Amino acid sequence: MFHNLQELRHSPSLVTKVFIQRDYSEGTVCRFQAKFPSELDNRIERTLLEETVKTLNSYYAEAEKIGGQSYLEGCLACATAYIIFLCMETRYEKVLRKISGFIQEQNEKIYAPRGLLLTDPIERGMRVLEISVFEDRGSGGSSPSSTMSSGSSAR
Amino acid sequence: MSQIQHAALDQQGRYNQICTRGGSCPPPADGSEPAHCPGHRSRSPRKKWQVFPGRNRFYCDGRIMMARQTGVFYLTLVLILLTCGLFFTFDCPFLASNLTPAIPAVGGVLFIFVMGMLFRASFSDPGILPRATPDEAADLERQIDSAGCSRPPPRTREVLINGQAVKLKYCFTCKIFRPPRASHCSLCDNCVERFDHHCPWVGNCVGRRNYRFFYLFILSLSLLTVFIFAFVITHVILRSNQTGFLGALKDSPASVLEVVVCFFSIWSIVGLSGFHTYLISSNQTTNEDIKGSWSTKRGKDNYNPYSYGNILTNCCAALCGPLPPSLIDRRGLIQSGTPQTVSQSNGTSNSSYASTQLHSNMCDQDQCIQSTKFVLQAATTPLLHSDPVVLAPLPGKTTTLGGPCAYLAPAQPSLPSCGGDVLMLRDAAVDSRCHHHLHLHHHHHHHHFVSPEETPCATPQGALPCPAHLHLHHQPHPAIPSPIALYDPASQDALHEDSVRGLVKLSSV
Repeated sequence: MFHNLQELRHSPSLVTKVFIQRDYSEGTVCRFQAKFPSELDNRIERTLLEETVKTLNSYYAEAEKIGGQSYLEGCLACATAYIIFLCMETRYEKVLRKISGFIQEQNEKIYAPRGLLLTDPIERGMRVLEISVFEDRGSGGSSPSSTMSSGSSAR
Repeated sequence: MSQIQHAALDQQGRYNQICTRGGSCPPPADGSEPAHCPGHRSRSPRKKWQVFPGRNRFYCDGRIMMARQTGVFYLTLVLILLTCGLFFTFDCPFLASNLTPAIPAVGGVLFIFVMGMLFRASFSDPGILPRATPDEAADLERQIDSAGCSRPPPRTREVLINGQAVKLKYCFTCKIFRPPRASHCSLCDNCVERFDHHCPWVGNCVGRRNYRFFYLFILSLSLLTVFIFAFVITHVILRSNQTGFLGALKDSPASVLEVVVCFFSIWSIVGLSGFHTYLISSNQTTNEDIKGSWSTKRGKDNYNPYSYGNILTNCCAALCGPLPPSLIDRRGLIQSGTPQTVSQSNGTSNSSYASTQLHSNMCDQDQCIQSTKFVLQAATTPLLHSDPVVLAPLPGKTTTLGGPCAYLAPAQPSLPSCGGDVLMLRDAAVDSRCHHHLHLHHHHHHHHFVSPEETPCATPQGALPCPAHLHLHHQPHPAIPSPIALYDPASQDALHEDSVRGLVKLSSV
């Protein structure tokens, strides 16, 4: 079993990558599909992944929300000819930092112990949510049977 | 900036960096590698803008990015600076002293705003979508190929946005399905989000991230043009009250030039501002407007699914909405583990696909080809080991021979796109024994593969099997030899076993 994130990152036993695509049914706002990918059927509980995706979607919705605060920020920035952004961070950037913290935390708590790794969508141009699946090689533990196993794990 | 690194493209279209600081950059050691400064190669890690696959230019260590052709941008700059310079130098002193000093002040503010917006529109990332990593591209290719049963495989996806059907197209260069409202700019060779148009005056694409700057630029420029035009005319009129019209023109000749430039600019720029105001209020892009995507001429139920329904909300959303950050991270450092994006255009597969062997990459077509090879190899192996009496090899693609027994006449094994069917069986005549063999082999595998000569359908009496069974039709695979052998009936059972074995091997593919 992988015990921490570092072990997972340096492990060479990457099996495959699963991609969760964008959901454009509500327009161009950033949303990811809630559909559970079949390759992860026996790696992680459905509800956990769905919860992660739902939370991510809510973060992105917050970042792109058009309301009082965004208008204020936009007008202030326009009035100062956008020079203010040299000193101040935009709301979107603040939320993105929150998101990367969230993903890091999810990886440590939930995904790394199951041999998975989430990649922050911003590193993939917000196109996909990439989940790397690692094969639990060389452990005598009861890792779940993997559909992609090449018979490497000892039982 | 003390160091400006000018960038240029080499023949492969990859982005190279040429150091313009003389003496600090040794010439490249060998011409085979891209011409990056070798001194930097080993010491400092490269930044992502240096390997950017699009046709953009980067300045100031990646802080500034523009399109490749910037000539018209410099023209814009010259026109604005010249006109404003002349205005402030020749007209403002008179106006300030005779009318009010507020005039040059307001003019100054407008000028600074215009320049600021111009630079922001020109130098920022318009909302470029980074190209797909090789893993993503392979995954998408797999999905596309497995989805359709028809050729060519579908390269569009339909999605329902607020009740309106929108088609998402696949970009062959960037290897992604473009999000709605995105488009691929052929000049910059990038997919840009909410692509409006490529503006040569600004020297950049206008997209999601710099549309508001572009709009504010043309709006403020039209105000500035009108302002200058009005006050230059005022200046000339006031002067001609004192010294007569021709005298006035002689005293400030620059005014004539300013009036001419402003007059022609007003028509174009004010017109453009008006057009973009209309676009903003209806939440459309220039691209959509030109194509008539949401026009009711296309269909009664056609409407713009992105519009918020009211003009004010649309305007606020476009101008005061949140500004997303750049997705291309041009000043980030390239890490060794980072997957590099697919940089080949025209959808040709490139060698980076080899790196995706970590998951099974074989699409059905490949499986079919492999399976066919297996079957035919397995089937011909016993032939070659037995004592061959070669019949005339069949040259043609489909040859038939008459005979009492059924013959296996497989269709031309064209590459299938789905289902994995390669060879189709067709029984032309009735012979129960042959049927029996056929069915037997059908049971052994789930594909309809049968080697063309596989079952020597000999009668148990030991009669020679009819040659029809031994036809080996001409196959496109070079591994399969064409000559056919006639079986010795005594070893027929062993051969039968071997071909069954071959087919069992097939079923495990």
